[in-house]
Amino acid sequence: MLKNHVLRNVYRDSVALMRLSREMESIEGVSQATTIMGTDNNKELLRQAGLLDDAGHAAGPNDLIVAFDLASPELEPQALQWFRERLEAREQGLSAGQGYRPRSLEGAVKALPNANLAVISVPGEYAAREARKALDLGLHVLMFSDNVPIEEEVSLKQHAKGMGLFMMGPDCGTAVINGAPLGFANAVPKGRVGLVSASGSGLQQVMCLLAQAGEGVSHALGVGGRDLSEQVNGIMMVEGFQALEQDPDTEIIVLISKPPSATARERVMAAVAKSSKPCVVAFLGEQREVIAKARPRPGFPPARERRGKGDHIYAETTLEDAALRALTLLGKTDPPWLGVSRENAEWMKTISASLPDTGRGIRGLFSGGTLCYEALNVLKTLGQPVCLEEDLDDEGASDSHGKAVDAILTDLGDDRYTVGRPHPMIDFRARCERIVEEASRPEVGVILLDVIIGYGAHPDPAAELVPALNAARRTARRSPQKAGGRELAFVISLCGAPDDPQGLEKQHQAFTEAGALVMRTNALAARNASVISTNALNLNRPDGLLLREE
Amino acid sequence: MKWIESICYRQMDRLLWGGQMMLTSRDKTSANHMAVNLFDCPIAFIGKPAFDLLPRRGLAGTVIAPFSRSCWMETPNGRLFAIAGHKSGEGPLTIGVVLPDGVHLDQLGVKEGTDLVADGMDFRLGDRLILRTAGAALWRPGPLGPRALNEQVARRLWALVDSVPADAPAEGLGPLTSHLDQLACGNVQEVPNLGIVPRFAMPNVAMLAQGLVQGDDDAINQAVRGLTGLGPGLTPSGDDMLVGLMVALRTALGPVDGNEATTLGFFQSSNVSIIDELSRSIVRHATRTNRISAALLEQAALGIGSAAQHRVVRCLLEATPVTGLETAVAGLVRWGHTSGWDALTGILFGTGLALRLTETIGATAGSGPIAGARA
Repeated sequence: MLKNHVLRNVYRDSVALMRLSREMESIEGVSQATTIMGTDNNKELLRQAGLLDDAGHAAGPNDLIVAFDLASPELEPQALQWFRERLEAREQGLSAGQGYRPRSLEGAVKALPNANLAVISVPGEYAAREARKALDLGLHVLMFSDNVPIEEEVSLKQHAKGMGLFMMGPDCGTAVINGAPLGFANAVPKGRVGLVSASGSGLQQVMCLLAQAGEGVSHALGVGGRDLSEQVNGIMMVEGFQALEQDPDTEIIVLISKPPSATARERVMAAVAKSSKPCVVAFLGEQREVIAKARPRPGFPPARERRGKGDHIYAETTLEDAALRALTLLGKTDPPWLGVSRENAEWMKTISASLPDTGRGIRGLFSGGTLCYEALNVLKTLGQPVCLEEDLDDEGASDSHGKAVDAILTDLGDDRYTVGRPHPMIDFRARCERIVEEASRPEVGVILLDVIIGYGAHPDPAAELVPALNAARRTARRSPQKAGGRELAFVISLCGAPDDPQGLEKQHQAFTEAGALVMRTNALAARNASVISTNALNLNRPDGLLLREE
Repeated sequence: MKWIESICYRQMDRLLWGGQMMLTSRDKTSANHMAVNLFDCPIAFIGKPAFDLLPRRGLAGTVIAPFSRSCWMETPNGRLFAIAGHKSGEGPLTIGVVLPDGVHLDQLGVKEGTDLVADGMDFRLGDRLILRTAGAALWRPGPLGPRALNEQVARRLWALVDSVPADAPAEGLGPLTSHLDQLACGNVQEVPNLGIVPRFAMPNVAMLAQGLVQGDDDAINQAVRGLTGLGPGLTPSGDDMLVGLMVALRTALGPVDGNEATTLGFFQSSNVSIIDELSRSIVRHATRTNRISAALLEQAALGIGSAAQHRVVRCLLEATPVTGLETAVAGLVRWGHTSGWDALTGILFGTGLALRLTETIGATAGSGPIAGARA
């Protein structure tokens, strides 16, 4: 019995069609089978072969004719079902059997109906579209992507605000929400401090310092580095702040940013002024008195002490001070990371004395942009002639104003250094190369590094960096200075939480054994680098360095 | 404000740290993460005719025929082009994309109805595939280099003809190559055990040869009508053969790069005129086949085939071809079940006809350089 089955506007590749025809003929009761496009010439071929019926005759050139000769009419449904299944199986190809993987945000939401946050890390030009889609699906958004036009950022944040959703980012790399770490985050315990930050590494530093002192975070929200710009005007920092204000688990709120625009500062501080909770405002690099309604720093007040209007606001200028303030407000004093041990102070004194007068310069090689910026401010405050590498003049010894510098800091996470490479928190190759390169410069005596561990970061930074430190030291010792070469001091700020997967203590120990001075706060590492560089340490009067007695 | 309860994760494979980040986050709330991967693929090349169909911004096309590593698209104006893995080779209507190994388009959500959208710089195919234009090459077949002497071309042609039939699949037109010398002279002979498709095609191939040599438009039309849409496959065998034929004829009879004196009289206005008639006939009858095949036939009518086809033609015609003929043929016949062989048949037929057309139009069947070389 002849039977044609016509599939309208169906295109299949030749090999698939040939294979299906041959396989069909292996079915019991099917004596002839062919699959062919329904062109006039092909229909004529089928007619000559006795394989064309009325259905096939009506097919057009874009239709696929499945023609078979069956031993009995009862076989028709079986043969057709077999053909459809095989055709469908080929369509699904290799994706079959791999478990469900959603193909779109909508698919993912259907598969996880309780999800209420989308993390978006697609190229910048497509990120806004995805974010808008996610917001429209009722999802909060954490946007890891950068290179999103600022107009899009404003539009997305206003849209999110209107829907009662968070729009974290663009360029938001860190958050901890309800204990769930997102992006580059740390294993911090749940606690009483809520944070909103326009700086990823700044947020990590404060979280980690709290965790090392035994305090945790309720929520840590990143808002993206441009949130406090004039255009965005702090939309999400204010939203995040107000959410923390209403959050019963949050007792103290910490806000972190590089210097905001005047209008954003005013807007944020207006919201902070109405808060019922103590608020620590760390706008790095800003003078305390510039922060509106910020009270001066008379010392650490007891927790929950209420004073007059604005007395609940504490302005701090470093991340270390912000963490310290929050801890003090919670009644925790003397965190373990505060100050320098006598052993370390002795080491600093010794190595500082060994540095030649012409080889005492500081080179800072950072992976965290905010940590680099904070170190710059700390060194400036200490009177160290310092500038960022990008601001150097052509000869590389003076800043853009022609002022000679002996401390040069580089943010290796900046876009100009990461083209075609992963972030330096993951891939240490660029930094290792630079460490050895800087060691070959006779004017360099101190190399200042940040090491950030936690989720998403390199699984073992010490294993990558220690060989580079050793190579750099060998390079310096081989240098012709005074025929005996020269020493190098390595100062590392290690940012991590005790429970981070890399092991905070393990990393600390590895760097210490490699002969580096390891500090847990970035500001302290920068201060110590300056002390070594300038030989300013007097152990009897440590000039601002808090000497810890073990 | 409702605090986040669980997480749906979106990240991109290209970023090394993306995968790592996702895994570490999973440790915390393992049941609540799901990845939607977005693939970012550079475009290796775009065929010039396809490029001309693409807008800078907006909807470029919609998938009408998805396959595992390629898909055919329809523009809003009803024109067709294809997106394919770049290893499939350059073609006039192909956008060649560097797809990750082992990834199939259906896994990326590409299906019938999926849109390709241009954003001024790059393209996005559906939700998960970004096609980057940076570094993409614009492909079109280059001009023919200095041409070999007719005798040299004929020797290569017949050596190849003798080696083809044993390997060609019986379902397509490859078996006709054994009889090309007769067919090129318009002769039809009874061949036992020939498959139904080549048997059906044989008189039309002979008629086409006769029509071209004698300048008989009606014969050309009738023959093209009998070959268009004939045979198995997405691009029916008759179509593939016509594509190969046109690429060979247009290349052989078209202008030559470099020294015109070496063309040996191929470039004759009378020949060009008859080939133009063949082109018009092919375009006219393209509606008799499916749309995808018709789109390729229309390009072939202008003398543009796939890079694999042009390589074989160059190996036959150029004095010092860059590629070895065997390599070029192997690169062509691997496509489809019969498509590569059918196109090769067309190329061989077209090259033979081009040799005949260098003789006086209307020469006696069986005479001329082909027959001479064969003898």
